[in-house]
Amino acid sequence: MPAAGLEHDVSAVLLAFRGYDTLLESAVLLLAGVVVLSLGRDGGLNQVSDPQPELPSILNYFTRLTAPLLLLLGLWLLFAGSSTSGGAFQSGAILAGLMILLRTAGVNVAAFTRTWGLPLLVVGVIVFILAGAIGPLAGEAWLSWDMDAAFAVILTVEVLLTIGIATGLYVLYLGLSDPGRRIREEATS
Amino acid sequence: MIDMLSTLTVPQWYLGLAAVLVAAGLIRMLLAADHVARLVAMNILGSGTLLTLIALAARSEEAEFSLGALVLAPLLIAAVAVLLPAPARRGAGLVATTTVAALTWPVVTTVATGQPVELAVGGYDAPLGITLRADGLSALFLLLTTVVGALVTVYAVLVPASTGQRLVSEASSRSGDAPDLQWRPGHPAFWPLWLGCWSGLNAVFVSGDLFNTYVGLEVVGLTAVGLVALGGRPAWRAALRYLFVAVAGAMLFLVGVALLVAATGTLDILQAGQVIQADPGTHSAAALALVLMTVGLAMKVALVPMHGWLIPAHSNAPGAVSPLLSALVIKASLFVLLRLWVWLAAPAALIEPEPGAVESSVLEPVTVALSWGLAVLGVAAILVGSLLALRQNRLKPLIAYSTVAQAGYWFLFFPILVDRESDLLEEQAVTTLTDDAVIAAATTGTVALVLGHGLSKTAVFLVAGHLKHVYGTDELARLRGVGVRHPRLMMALGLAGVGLAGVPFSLAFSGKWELATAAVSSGDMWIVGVMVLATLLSAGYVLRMVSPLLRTDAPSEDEEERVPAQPQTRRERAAQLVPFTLGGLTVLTGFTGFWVADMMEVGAPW
Repeated sequence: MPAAGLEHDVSAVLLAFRGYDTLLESAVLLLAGVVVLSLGRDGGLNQVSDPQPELPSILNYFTRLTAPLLLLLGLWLLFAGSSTSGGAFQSGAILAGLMILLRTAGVNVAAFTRTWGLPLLVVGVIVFILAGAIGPLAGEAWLSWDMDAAFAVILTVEVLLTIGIATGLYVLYLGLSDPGRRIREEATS
Repeated sequence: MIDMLSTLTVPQWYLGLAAVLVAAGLIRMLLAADHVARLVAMNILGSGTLLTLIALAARSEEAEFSLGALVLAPLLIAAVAVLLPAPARRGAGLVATTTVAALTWPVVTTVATGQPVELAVGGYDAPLGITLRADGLSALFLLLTTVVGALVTVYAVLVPASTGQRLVSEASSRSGDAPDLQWRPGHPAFWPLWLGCWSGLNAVFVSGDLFNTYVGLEVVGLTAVGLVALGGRPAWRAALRYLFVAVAGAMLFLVGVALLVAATGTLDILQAGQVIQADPGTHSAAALALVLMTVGLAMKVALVPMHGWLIPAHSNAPGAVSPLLSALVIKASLFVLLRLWVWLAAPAALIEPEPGAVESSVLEPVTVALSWGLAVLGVAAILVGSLLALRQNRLKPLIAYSTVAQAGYWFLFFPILVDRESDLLEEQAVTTLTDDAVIAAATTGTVALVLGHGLSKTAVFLVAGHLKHVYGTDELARLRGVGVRHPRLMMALGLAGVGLAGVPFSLAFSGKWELATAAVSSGDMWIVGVMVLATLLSAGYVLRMVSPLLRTDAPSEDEEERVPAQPQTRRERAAQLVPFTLGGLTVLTGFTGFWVADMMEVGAPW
């Protein structure tokens, strides 16, 4: 396990020994996001500006309290992955939950989502593949990081993968947030 | 500094230049305001990518490098394409096509020398890591995917309307109203989804690992569902139904993978096969796994009676998507089925039990029963699919039913595969073939049928999609006599019809010939009878498809009903060459039967 640059068994399997599977699974999530976006109008993230229903103010207070905690928990899960249970998928799920909570509570994340949604969705997979090309660059197999900087590379990939997973899950939520609305809109057009 | 530069090798120079190009292209693409500048930036980025690939290929073993790159390069381009505007995505599609074609070549040529290509991803050998492996079967399916994928990509670039329809909102004339929603031809999401699908297909074909195969099938299944949904409202229901079937099939397959890894302790297909052959204790788990995986994959191949999802999905999909689904996507599941049966199950089931063994293995009776079940369903598929194809009034559902019928052929050889008695016939002087040669001929014949179907079905679906695009309908009654105006499309349809009916010269005919030889040798004469009947039926639905288009005696009342043709652009007329090429390939590949048989010998289990 130390050879893989990771101390925890599960993380070593996910990122080193079977990193290729992890890459393809992240690609599944990315492509699921693309499918959901393609069904919407104008092929983009327009539904983020759909108005949200009014909520009792208690939820706003709740969000103010929990949002930083969720962020912290998400990041902790991400970095804990190298030594105990945790990792990109769990952390990404928490961070996506954080985004959903913020949006539901009326925080204006529409502009941020429209600008950064797509780049953040694909960055994890792109960087993973480019990092995987370091292997053939050194005359070795794809996705092999047999070097001193292995930990730095794996950490970078893991962080960006987390962002990609969180964005993918958030995009899935956005596409499904009100399936009736688009169909009603189209029926009236 | 000078010293350092002078020590750089040529590939390192290439890499440096490629890095500059990629960086410049990426920065320009993200910063540029207008589409033209982005397009230029995109091309710079693309050439940088190609240069990187060339440099990388020079540094490592070319074929091994290509094995991984065949999966990762299209995936990378798919991810980048998400960020690009619609016109640049077509450029990305062409870049991906060139790249994949350049990567397929070293793999196929290396395998053709008799040497399977292997790559331990990450440098970790199985069972700890994942091994990619390309043998003859993989190389043939890779080649089919590259040829069909490249030609359909070119078609989709020339006819953007064939990529689906998108929902756009237009500012309403009255202010304050909700924007109007309208359907427009062409969907830019086709490009990332199709390139992702291509990557998944390649992943399945080069995978030597059971779980990795599952992930590859998931990529293919999910993107295929997305591609169907690009067809607009009528396709959504079909896409959802397809999603349920694809997920259910994948789940059954995954349970089978779990059973196999629990019993054998490895996910590597060849290693698992060796464990099953050596240890009869694993046979009950392997038998159960085989049943689950076979049912799951048969759902995805649309074997009768699990074919209901295929008709709406393949006939409502956009013009450039239907050929990909019929020629490639269902073949990915069939490929895995062949891997499991020919490489994993059959060798273990055919081992003679040791004399004096107390308990006989369950694997042999289960595989024999299951193989006969598959063959019976295959015959049913040929009959049901052909008869229903003959009853269709619309072109695309007719072709979809012909896919169901053709899928029946691919399941006929399973009883031969696990027939322990077939070698007894050697002594009866019916044939000089040995037992192994019978299995080899049956498998090779089936693979030739599959490859031939891929080429001809792509041509037929492209023609149908093109006519639907030009006339706005695919009802045969309304398309009466339009063939006279499209000689190249009709020629493509005719040539591809030769392949669908499986008459000489076509790869499908070589396949039938070889399968029939194997059937005679193993005493399964019923297969020959079924194939004769199937050939007649398929000739029937090919005529049903072609003859209305060529009728010139259109009655007068039809004259008024006939839909006016949309004027075709120059590009769309040029696009007719794509199905024409595929039709030509259907006939030309009829002469490659021996080459296919030679390729199948590479890394074969017999």
